Amino acid sequence: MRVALVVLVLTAGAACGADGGGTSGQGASTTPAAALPFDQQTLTVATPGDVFITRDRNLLGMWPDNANICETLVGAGENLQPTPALATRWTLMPPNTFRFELRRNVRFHNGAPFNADAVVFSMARVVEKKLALTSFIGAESTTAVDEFTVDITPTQPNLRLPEQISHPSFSMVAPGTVPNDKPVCTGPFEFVEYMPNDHLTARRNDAYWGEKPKLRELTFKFIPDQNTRRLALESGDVDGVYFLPPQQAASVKARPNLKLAPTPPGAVVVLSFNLHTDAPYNLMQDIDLRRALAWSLDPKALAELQWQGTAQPLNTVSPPSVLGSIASEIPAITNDLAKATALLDQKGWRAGSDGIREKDGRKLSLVAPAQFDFEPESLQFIQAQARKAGIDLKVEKAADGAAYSSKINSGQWDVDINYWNQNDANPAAILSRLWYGKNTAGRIRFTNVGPKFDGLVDEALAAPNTATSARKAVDAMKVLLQEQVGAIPLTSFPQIFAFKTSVAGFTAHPSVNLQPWTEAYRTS
Amino acid sequence: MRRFVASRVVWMFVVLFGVSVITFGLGVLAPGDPAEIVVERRLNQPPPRDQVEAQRKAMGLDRPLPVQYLKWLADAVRGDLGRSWLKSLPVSDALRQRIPRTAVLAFTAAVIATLIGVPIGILAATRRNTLVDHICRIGALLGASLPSYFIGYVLIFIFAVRLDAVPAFGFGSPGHLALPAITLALGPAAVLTRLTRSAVLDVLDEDYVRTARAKGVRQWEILFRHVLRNAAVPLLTVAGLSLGHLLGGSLIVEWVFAWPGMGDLAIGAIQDRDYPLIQGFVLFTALVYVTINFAIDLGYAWLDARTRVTDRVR
Repeated sequence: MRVALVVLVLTAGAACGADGGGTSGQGASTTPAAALPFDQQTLTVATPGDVFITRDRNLLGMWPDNANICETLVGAGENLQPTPALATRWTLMPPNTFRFELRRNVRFHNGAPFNADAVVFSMARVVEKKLALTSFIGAESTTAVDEFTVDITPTQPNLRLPEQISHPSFSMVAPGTVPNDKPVCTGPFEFVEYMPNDHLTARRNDAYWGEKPKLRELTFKFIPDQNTRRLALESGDVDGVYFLPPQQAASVKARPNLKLAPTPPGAVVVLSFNLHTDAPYNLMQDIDLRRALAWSLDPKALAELQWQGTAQPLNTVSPPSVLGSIASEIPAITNDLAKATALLDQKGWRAGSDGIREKDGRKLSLVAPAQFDFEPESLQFIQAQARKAGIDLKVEKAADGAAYSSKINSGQWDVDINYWNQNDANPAAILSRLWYGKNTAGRIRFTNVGPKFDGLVDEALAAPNTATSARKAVDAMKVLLQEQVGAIPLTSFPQIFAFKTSVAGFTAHPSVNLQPWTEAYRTS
Repeated sequence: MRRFVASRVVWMFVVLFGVSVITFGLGVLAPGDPAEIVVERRLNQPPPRDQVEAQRKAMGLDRPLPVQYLKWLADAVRGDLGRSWLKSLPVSDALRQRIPRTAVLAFTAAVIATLIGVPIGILAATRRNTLVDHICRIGALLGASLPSYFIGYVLIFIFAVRLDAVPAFGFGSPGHLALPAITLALGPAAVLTRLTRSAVLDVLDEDYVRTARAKGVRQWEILFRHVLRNAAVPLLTVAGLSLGHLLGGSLIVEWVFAWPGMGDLAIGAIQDRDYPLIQGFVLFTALVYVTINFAIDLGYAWLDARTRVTDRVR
């Protein structure tokens, strides 16, 4: 039996953060000269409606709008890579246990100490509230080794655990508290109040263990209408907005007192195929048709059109930062209309009087549901490109998320048009969400591309480190995209934040769930 | 009069029953599986089938539709509208939280609509076919035609962005109330303007008004003592229905101004397929309408002696 510990990540994080060392007192001493006095350091950010009211409030102030009230054991760096947070280091104890060494001298907002018991309490809550996602953390998975050491053993092999638990769902909360009403955590901000459908406010945690925020108070204002959000920013009622629609970006950018803050591309636009339904939704079971559709589309041209030119053409199904340089091993799909039409001709699909190809009396018409908030211009562009090859994409843009999910899970579709967010450094995250046979999600029964792909995803999930996992994920993508043509990656795009130019210090994170507010401040 | 009231009450219940059947049916026909939505919201990923099935059972969606409907109806009669599937609270509590906010907005808008619509209607009628009349009519046409979201954005742009006079959105102070109330009021104000003009013109042509003029009664006295009293019956109908519309139909305005009232609640419930909440909202709106209609009917009887007499003769 192997007894050696595999050291995954060793960091210097413990030394730099254990006892503070950030700003002190009222904070004005460390903010730049142009900053407003500390008592005026309040920031109001408009978000698209109250996202907490429909989610049992288990993650109030943590997710999806993250006010930095709570922290996780492992953080996610600027490329989503795992970084020390409340755990200063972690090691794999084969075959499937991770040992986390906890940061010392950390206190919750109520003064209680952060220790192994707090981790056990928090993870038990994660399990009880069914927030564990695909981490496979079970009721017995987390055990305290000593006051500042915990072991976590997933219920089945999962070596992507450190990456996965950077998600705010795994936040550490003070033992004995109920975060649904008032989250009591360790973060740089502490909870002040939550008024459903109106706002959530947090203030600086003066006892924070790390660098203290420059802001005195942070408020999320819930404004469901996107036009009102932008007008509220222009009127000065708010200092910033979440998720500016790309069609508004240019006009905001043109205003001298406003600026854009796009995240690094963290979302991907991918077409998936229905591979396992009977007629009339069985056309995409023919790999040549999938290949012809792929050749008919031009990701580069779409990227120039999409999101005001801030999108990037994509050759994988993950954002560029996740796989690093090995992403280039997957050849990009080349737009080649001549090849697409030649292949369709060769397979007996002839253009009809309306330009749509036909074969044996059947038209090459494909039902293509699209997510409700997908850009209409992009959908029209994709549709027009397919049309040039004689493929009729009948795009059905859903009225809302529920209608989209219902359509996908019914199996009555051919091509799925959607975008997906990457929220952690797990290279197999999107692969396992959308095509992995062991995922029991409803859509998988239509999209799974077979055992070879599943085996490689298994290996990616079981790899001892992120680099090896990325290598296996690339192999899985080669099967998905080249051998099986089970999906067509198109573009990767950012989410766009906008602020007054008087707001400084904010750097958008690629995960929309992990925006950092500690460095933001207001200037005169 | 008693028979009149009794028949109206019976019809109220018939209408409410019909609304409950239609609401329930539309909820069932709408695309999207509520169980799937609940699980998907909880997990933030495509939901596993076994969890969806368990959720469906927990929500009672595996039972036959008539059973689901009858259980809901029986509970509703007892005042229990069920629990919101996604907001973890009773529907009646959710409505109770929002009704006062929408009521403030609706009543303010109704007052503004009346203060704008009735005087302008009188002005237009008394200046018939003059420039003033034409301006009033064009204004009323615009007010009735422009969609409220467009008016809302324009008002925000002018009064919040350009003039910085009031907040662009939100809830809490009289300043927050100004723009949504005006936006909401303009439609009913336009209708009231046109109707007041028309009703006043009708009465102005009556013999008794001409006689009053001939006897030298002053213009304001004719207007307020004779004309407005006789024009009040049709105005009461429109004003009442407008109030119902304002209470139940401020969805878009509440959405645009992030006003956390019933409309905002209803839109969220529709997007989430939160059937109990949708049913509660529709039932409440229907109740408001039929109650106001009932009150209008009683108002007719009070204002118009002929109604009372006719009823007595029967």
